[in-house]
Amino acid sequence: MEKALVIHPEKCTGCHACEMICSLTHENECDPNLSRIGIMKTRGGGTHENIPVVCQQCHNPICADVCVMGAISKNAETGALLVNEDLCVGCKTCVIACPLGGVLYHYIKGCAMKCDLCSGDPECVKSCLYGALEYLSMDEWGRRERLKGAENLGRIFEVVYK
Amino acid sequence: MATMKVVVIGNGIGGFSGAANIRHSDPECEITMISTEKMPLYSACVLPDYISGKILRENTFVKRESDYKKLGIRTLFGHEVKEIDTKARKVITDDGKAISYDRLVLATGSEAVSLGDRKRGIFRVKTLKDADEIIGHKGRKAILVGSGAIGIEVAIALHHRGYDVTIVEVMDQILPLALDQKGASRVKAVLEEHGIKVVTGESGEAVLGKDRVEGLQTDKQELECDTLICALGMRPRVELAQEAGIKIGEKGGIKVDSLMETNISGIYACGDCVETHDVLTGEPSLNLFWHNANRQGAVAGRNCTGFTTEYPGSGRLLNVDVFGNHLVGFGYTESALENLRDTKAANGQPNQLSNIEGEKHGGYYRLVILGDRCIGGQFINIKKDLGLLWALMYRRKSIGELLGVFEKEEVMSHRPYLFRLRPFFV
Repeated sequence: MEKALVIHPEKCTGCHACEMICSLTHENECDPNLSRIGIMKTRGGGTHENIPVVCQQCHNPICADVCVMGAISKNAETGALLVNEDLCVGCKTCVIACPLGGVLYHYIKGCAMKCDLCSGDPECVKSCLYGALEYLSMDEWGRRERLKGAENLGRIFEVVYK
Repeated sequence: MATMKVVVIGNGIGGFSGAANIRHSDPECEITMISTEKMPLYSACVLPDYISGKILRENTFVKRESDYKKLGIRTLFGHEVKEIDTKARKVITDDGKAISYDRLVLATGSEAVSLGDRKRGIFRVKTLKDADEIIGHKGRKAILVGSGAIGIEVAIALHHRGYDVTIVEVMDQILPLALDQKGASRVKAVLEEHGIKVVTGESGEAVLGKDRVEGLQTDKQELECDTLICALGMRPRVELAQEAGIKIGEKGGIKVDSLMETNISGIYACGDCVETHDVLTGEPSLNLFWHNANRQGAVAGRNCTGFTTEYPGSGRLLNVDVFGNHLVGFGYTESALENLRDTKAANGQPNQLSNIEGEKHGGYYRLVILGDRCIGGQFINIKKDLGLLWALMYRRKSIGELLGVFEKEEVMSHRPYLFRLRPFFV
C-alpha cells in the first residue's frame, strides 16, 4: 500500500535536523537551501510555531500539470512525484504553482527539486527525534486519526455523563 | 460490443494528454492520432531556450516515438485532416483516406499571427520548425514586433545569440497582458540595461525591403533590421471545425461545454483551439497556456470514454525569466479589466477596481482586486508563497474572508500556512 509522509506540526521543535539530513543525503553537503524539506516559522498567532513544509505527493499534482516538459511524474512504487532532471529546463513554473511550497529550485543544478521520499525510506523521518515526521501506510494513518477522534469523543462523554 | 474507435487530431500537449487519458481509462479502445508535424510531442514553451542555445534540439522533445507505441496509439504523422464528416462519423485525410471514429478529439491548437509578408527574414515563433529557421538564419539586427511573454523571451534569446535586438510594441508599455505600467517599466529598465532597445507606443506599418527584410516602417520612424520576428500573439485554428459545422464562440475558439464536448455529440475539443470560461471572471476567454491544454486534454480524454469529469475553468499563469529577474503574472491586469468592469457595472453590481502594491523580500508585487476578490497578481523577484495565493484566487476566496481567517486563532492553528499570505495584504 502507498505510504505517506505525515507531519505533526504540534510536535515540531524547529531543530532543523531534517533539513540537514535531507541535504546531506541528496547533495552530500549540509545546505538548508538544498533541503527538500523546510521548517517554516510562523510568528504572531497560531498555536504551531514551527511547521515542516514538504511535498505531499498530491494525487492530482498541479506541479506536473504546469510543467512544460512533462518532467514531473509519479513513481508507481513509492507514489512519490519525481523530477526528471534531464528534461527539466528550470523555468520555475512548478515552484510558483505549488500551493504548499513543496517544490523548490536547485540553485546549483538549475532545475526543480522536490521530495522523492528517499525511494521509500525517508531519512528525515529517521532523523526526527520528536516524532513530528512519520512515514505511515495510508490505513495506519487513517486508523490513528480515527483513534484521535475517538479520544476526543471519550473526553466529551466524560464531561456530559459525569 | 465492438471496441471503440477514437481519433485525435493534433499532437500538441492537448492532443497527447487526451490520448494518454483515453488509454488510462479505457485500455482496449483504438486510438489514432493524426498530426501534420512529423515528430513526437515537443514543448513549444522552451523554444526560446533552444534558440538561445541553452538546451539542445533533442531536449525540446517531451515524448519519444516509443511512448506512443507503449500507449498503443496509432500515429499518422505528416498527414493533415481535410474534412470531418460528422454524419458518417469519418475524417478524411489529405491522401484521401477515410478514417471512421466513434469519438473525435479536436486538438488543432493555435497559430501565430503574422504580419503576412512572405519575405526572407520574417519569422514567427510557434513550432520547432520556426525555431530551426531562426537558428539557421544569419543576421545581426533583429526587431521583435509585439512584447508578450514570447516576444520578451525570444528577444533575450536572440540577445544571447549576439543579435542587436529592438522590441516594438503598439501599447505604451511592454507585457501589456501580464503587467501594469509600474511593473512593466521595471522590466523595461532591466532589458535596456542589458542592451535591448525597447520602443513603445509605435505600431508597425510596413515591412521594408523587396525579397528580404531590410527594415520596419512604424508610424513614427524607420527602423533598420535584417530579421523580423512576429510575436503578435496566437490565434486558435478552428477552420476545420468551422467547416464541419462545429460552433465557434465569441472569442474565436471552439465553443465547448464544461465536459469539453462541442455542440456535436461525440466530438470533443481541447487545447489552444477552444475557448473556455476563465476561472477568475467566469467569462469565456482564450487562455492559451500549456497547463490549461494539459488539463483540458485530461478532461476531454476521460469524458470520451464515458466518465463525466467537469472542467473547472482555465487560468492564466505566466512566468518569464528576464536576465535573472523572475517575473510572474497571474490572472488579469488592471488595464485588461477596464472593459470587464464596465459590463459588471451595467448589471447593477458596481465592482471597485483597486490594488495592493508593495515590496517584499526585495521584490515587487501588485495584487489586482475587483470587488472583494483578488483577480490578478504581478510579481517581480518573488517566488515564495505564490502558489498559495494562486490557489486562493482559483477557489474564488474573497479578501474579507481571508483577512477574517487571519484573526481567528482556531482556524489558523489548523491552517498555519495561511499566515504566509499575510505580508501581502497587511
